[in-house]
Amino acid sequence: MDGLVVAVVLLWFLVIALAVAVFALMRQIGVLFERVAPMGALITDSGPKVGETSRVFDLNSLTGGAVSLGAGKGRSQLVFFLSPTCPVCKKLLPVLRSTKAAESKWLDVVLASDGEAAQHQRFIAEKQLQDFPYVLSTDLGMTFKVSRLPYAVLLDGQGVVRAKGLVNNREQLDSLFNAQDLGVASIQKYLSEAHSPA
Amino acid sequence: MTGLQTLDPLLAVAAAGFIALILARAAAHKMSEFVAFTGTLSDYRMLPERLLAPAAMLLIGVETAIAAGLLWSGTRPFAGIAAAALLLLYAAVMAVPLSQGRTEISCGCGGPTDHLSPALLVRNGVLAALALVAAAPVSDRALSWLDVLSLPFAVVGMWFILETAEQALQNEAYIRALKSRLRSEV
Repeated sequence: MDGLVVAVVLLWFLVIALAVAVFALMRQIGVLFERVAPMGALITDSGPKVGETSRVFDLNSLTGGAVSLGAGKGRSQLVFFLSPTCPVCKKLLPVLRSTKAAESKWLDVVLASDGEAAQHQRFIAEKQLQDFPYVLSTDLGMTFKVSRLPYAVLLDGQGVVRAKGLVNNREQLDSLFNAQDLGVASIQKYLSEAHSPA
Repeated sequence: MTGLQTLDPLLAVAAAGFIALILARAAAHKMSEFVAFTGTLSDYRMLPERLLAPAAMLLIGVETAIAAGLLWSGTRPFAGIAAAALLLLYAAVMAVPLSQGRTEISCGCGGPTDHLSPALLVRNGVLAALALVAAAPVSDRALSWLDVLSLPFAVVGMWFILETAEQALQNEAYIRALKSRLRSEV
């Protein structure tokens, strides 16, 4: 056999072996980051930071009454940003309903969106959201830099942002409450405190 | 020599196989997570709600058709040009939210990358160029057994390089998130 042919075949095997090895390394780095710093619900870093006090928003609910967000009246508020056109938001409505019932002692769940009121009224009727305060405010979404839905912000009884982030499933919603329960802003902080109890 | 205007068949076929594989991956991703993908489409804020599901189905159909077209030598030039056009269209669609700083929406392209980034535009440019290689007229060199061996290796090699690049992009997003979180705690 021609020496060149042997060399080409040999090189192909080496190239593929190296490509697999490089990809495996890159993947392992990704897995490592996932372990060290799970994205969880805390994916975004823009807008008011965790630990900062939110501005107060006095808004009228589409389902009747007035809502004061971040006013700090002793009860925590979960502001859930959604849209009638967002399929994942619809999927999470039952989870929100059970959260609202289970955490009713200390938490109010407020739905937030923006746009045409008529469209949202239809959405409220269709999904039977009359029990939830439902506010429309472009300013609110801009302030919290909501760029992707569904997005949630947890405000405590003093109007301080306790947790926030993109919420795609029940686990991520729960992770917001974990952050609140543990009283830590993020898993890094939690880990560093756990490792150095001083 | 006609080789000046034509390309070696191995290069065109390898490029075609690679692009077909990427389009198949994209279509499979859209099918397996159809609801989530319609959500991604709505994140782009370009289509009214009632068109989201039909548009998603149309994209799956187009991607599958082009991927299949790339596998036959008769349809390969047309499919190659169509693939390049589709990849550049995706790049243009991603450029809009990118220019507005909305990088947190998913690219909806399958693979490990989850965030929009300018690097995805570069990726699509490179892939579109490869699609044009697949569309180029080829010389009539007879393929030997060595070509038959080289073809799958070339496709698999390119595939791993793409996956590695996309994973690197995803890792970069992790690093950014980690840095900003550490900053916010100081």
